[in-house]
Amino acid sequence: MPTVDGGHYFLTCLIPVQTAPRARADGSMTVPSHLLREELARLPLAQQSPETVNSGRQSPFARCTRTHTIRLAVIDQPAFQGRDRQDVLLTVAKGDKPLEPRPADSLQNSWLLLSADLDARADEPDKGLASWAGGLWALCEPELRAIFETCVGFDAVQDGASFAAWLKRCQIETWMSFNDYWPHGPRIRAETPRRLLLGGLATFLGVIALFWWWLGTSWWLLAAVLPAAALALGAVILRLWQVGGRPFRAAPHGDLPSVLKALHVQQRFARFAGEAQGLSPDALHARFGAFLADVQPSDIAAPTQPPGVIRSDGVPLVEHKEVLVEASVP
Amino acid sequence: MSRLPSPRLETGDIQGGVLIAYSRLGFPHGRHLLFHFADPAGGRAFVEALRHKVTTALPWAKRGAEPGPGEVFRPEATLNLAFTFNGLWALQVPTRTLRGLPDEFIDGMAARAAILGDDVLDNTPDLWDEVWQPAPQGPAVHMLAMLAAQDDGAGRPISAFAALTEAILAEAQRHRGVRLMEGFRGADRRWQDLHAIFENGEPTRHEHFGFVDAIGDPVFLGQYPEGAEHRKCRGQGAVNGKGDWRPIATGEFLLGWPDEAQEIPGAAMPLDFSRNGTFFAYRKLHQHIDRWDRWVETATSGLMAVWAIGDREAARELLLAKMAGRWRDGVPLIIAPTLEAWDRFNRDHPPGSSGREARLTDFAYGKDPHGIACPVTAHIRRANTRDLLDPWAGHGPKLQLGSALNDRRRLLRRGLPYGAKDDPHGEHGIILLAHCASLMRQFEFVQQQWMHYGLDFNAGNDSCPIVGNHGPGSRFVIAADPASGKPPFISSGLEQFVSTRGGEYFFVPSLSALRMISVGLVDPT
Repeated sequence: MPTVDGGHYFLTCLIPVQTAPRARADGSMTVPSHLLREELARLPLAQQSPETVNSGRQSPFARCTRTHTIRLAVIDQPAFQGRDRQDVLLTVAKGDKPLEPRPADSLQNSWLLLSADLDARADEPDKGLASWAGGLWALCEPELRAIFETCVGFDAVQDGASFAAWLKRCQIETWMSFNDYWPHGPRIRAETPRRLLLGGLATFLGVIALFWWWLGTSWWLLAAVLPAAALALGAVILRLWQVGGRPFRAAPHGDLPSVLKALHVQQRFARFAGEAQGLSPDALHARFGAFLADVQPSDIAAPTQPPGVIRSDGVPLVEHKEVLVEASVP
Repeated sequence: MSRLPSPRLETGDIQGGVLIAYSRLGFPHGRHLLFHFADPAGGRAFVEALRHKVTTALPWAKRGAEPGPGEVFRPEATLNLAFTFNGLWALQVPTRTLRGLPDEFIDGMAARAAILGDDVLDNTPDLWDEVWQPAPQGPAVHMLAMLAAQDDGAGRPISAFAALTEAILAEAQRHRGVRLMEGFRGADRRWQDLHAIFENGEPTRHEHFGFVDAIGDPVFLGQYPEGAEHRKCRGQGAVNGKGDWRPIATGEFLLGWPDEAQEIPGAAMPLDFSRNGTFFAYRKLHQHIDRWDRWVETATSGLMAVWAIGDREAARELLLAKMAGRWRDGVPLIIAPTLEAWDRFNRDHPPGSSGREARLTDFAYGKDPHGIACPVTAHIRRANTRDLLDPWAGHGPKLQLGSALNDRRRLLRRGLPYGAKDDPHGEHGIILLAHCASLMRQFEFVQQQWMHYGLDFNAGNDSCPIVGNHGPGSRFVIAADPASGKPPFISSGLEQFVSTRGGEYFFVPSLSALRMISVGLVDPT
């Protein structure tokens, strides 16, 4: 599962954080990684719980309709995994001394991890990274400046294009990415063991035939069996590698605007179904017409659910205690 | 499937009421008293004074009979004790033991409000009975004394009940710093009285909405004498992909015994402190009977219109059954999905007939994946999902996993109703004691994921139509048989029918642990 998979761009960046002590606004001294953490802690969350709804604040990333998820985390040190395990007999044979400490890995500075799931752009040369980063810069430049100003090299960022180029420099390949917008799973044309076996056999026989054409019928042909078998095995592995490396197909309607629209239609339809119960066929027909005109299911853009909220059917998501507590509470 | 050997549980070490509910043993009355310990030594001396009065799980002789081998006299009233984390701390249980207790137990119920759905609507702790309101509003709850009593034949508890209450109060006064906590809503601020709902002078198993309650309850290894759990486990234990039932592992309900993961999970040390003990979630659940009656009538009208039912009584019964998953007399919808089938069941197996009780619990959901007979969001289908969540359902006995995803989410339900429909203080509801080995894995999961949420049932945000939280936008969907030509019935505007009015997480120590606590000799080394 690579960086671009299933129509999505799984962005992973490791961004070095500066180390020189800095002064806060009140004059107190601290290190950049703490300033960064304080800034991240101040970032509002999306409005997906009564708590965040009541705060009235919204995540800046909700302004971007290509960002499914984004995660920011500061990594100070790798987790120590303990001494490498080794076979007891090997330790004795090699004369290793378990009491002697081995070096443990450590980092020289903190790193900011940025991990995001975006809508890819198949028609762009970089599959949409630069256009996403540029778009994000246009939508939330102040917040991005506040987050990244403690990071190495960010002082060279002046605009969307240079922000994208800077992120690109910090990007590492994504190895494990996952999302699932397939309602029932795609039909995958995968290699079967039978096809692989036939391919391998064909390669083997082809190589033998080549030797036969070159050497004619002779006992030397026996010497060709080993390289032919190796080539056949190589061909099978190459084929598996090629097939495994192919990106997963994009799920239909798996982009964020479509997903948001689907959520909106689903909620509105559930309400419609309840309200339209028991109507006569004519009334139901008219009501459904009004529903279609109102919800516009084929128009992805509007009306729809805005990003960063949990429902869009008009039902409030608040601590509705005040709404429902009655004087009758004994 | 080979039969697992039944462990011989140490019934003299396990507190009474855990293995079998007192209400099922002829004790329709209960009283709960809460204590706070301001002085550790005084608190311990108080517990020590009560220790020999505590009822164990030892089997009783038959009513009026002399005890046989291994049996004890049947008591007229029972006493059991349970502690909060604050209580154990106040009695100076060692830090090393305390730190081995589970996070949620240390937190206490009020701190878990957002998980339990007690942070919204009228469930919030500031609306709980004063006595249950968490510190710092008042002194913390430390110990719960639970009394149960037989009936005197006139709908009142037998006189031993009052005598036991008096004895406990007298002991409390004799020991320094022991305070009886007050502030219960209702007729007496000093304690919570509970009782079955009586009809014609006889206790019933009904609750205030009119359903027969306390039918299903897990059956686990060692629970009954002579391995009777192997007979009783059909429909109550765990089921595999072939449809074979077995008792659930003992460790799901009693600490220190192997559980469904085939391990003895980490517990507060020493193991003798935890072993044979259990936890329970105490919930005082107020029932809004007026709202319930009002909404049921409105929804009945809706169901009559959508499903073209002429008989209002029949439509109401059907609606109530679809909400609960059982007809009001307890007959499950899976076995009797229609009014006609219900009538037939009651003709074939009239109340009181042999085998009826076992039939009420002997079913699974595998043949009703879409909830045509019993809605996927009905109360009993959520509370005990049986084989409903089998990820390989319909793929044959070799792949099917049966109740695998349900077996670690079971709860032993104990408790009784309180108040009356016409109580002048508006006090009517249920005291639920949900026993389990892990409050987080079992009680909190069921409450959060299955009662207040619907995703596991492909029902989005829909909560339990009876006990779930019903905020704006709540709905309950009754699937219809496509062959009937009827559309599904979607009812909306559910009001809050059941609201939390108090509660806490309690540890029920074994008799061994109770002695360790009361004499101040818990040795965790």
